[in-house]
Amino acid sequence: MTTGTIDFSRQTSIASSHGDATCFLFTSDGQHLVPSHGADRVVWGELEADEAVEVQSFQHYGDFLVLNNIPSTWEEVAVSISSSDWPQSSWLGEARREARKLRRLPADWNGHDAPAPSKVACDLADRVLCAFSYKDIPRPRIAPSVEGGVGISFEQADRYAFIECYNDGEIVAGVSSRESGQDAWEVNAKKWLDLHRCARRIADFLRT
Amino acid sequence: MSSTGWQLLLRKLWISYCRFVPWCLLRCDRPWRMYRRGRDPVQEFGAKERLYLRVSRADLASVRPDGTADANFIKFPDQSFNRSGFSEPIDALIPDPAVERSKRWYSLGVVEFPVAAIPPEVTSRQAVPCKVRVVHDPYDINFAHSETRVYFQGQRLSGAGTDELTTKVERMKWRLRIRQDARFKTVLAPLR
Repeated sequence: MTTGTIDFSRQTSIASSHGDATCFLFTSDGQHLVPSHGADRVVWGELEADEAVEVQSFQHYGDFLVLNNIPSTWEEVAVSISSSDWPQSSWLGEARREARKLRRLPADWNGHDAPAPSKVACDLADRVLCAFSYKDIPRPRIAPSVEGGVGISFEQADRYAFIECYNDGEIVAGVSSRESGQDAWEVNAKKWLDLHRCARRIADFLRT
Repeated sequence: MSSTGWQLLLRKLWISYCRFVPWCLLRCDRPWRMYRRGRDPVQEFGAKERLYLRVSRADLASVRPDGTADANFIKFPDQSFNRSGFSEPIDALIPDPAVERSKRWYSLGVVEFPVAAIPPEVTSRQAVPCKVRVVHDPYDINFAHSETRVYFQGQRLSGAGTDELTTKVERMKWRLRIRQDARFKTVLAPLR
């Protein structure tokens, strides 16, 4: 048996799902994800399995939420905590509306034969925005991509992060700064865990 | 008429002036400088030469006051530009009679950036660098036309060939390098 502990004070990685006041969290390497308000309902599951079940075995202990009976075979745990007053990033709603608007763009919107962003790309962008809805991440810019898809960029001082959601359902993320140069990697769009890892990596990069 | 309508009308009049007034006796539909007139391509780009890129309003929104821009509006490869050595920024908006949708170019904008900001290499799947070159590729009605092209072991890559030999990750790094080095300047703002 394993017990996962969520530390309310650390606020390291929070991403809400589709605006229904449910948050997906995961624990990994001792980093736990936290709500700042009380939880009404907890659902958890192994993220790699992409399924979750509702459980009742959690308790509040001061600033900690303790989850009991996590199967020992699970390496990383997705926890969904519902709360009636869940805090969301102030930019999330507007950013999601912007991403949805891009569906209306026609093909050749830039005069260079660029494909219009597809529904798949816009939906992926929505997932990415939800995964990045930290309070301490700057508001992203959202724009159509000349490669066919939606581009989401974050910027802090000279640090720049860019995520491209392609029409074919792939996601590539990249970071760039004068000090560290450029790096890019693929993100598995089907796994929340991958999106959360990406969000954490980019948040850490922007804060460094 | 709205102010945007007036702006569009003025721009069309200005382009009409460029197209017809000085050259009407020669039956030209664009400035004389744009015609190839038998000239050979010039593959040497000056150190300070700039590239003019036609952009939409959505693109331009990503250009910051310091000239940096998002990585999402440079295509890889085969991105068309006009080179400053043989053209003026407005030339990028003059429609091509052979392309029906080009009438819409009137309302787009133009940004410029230095040719030196184009990264010369991108890594292939085999970890061998592919060369990226800005090639002067003149059209009969647009001598300044240039584009980025990718070469692997001397062979030009395009379309599916580019996808086979380069990954989206490496292409993203290439675009991030442009984003890091290029300073974009808006020379013509797009109209609403």
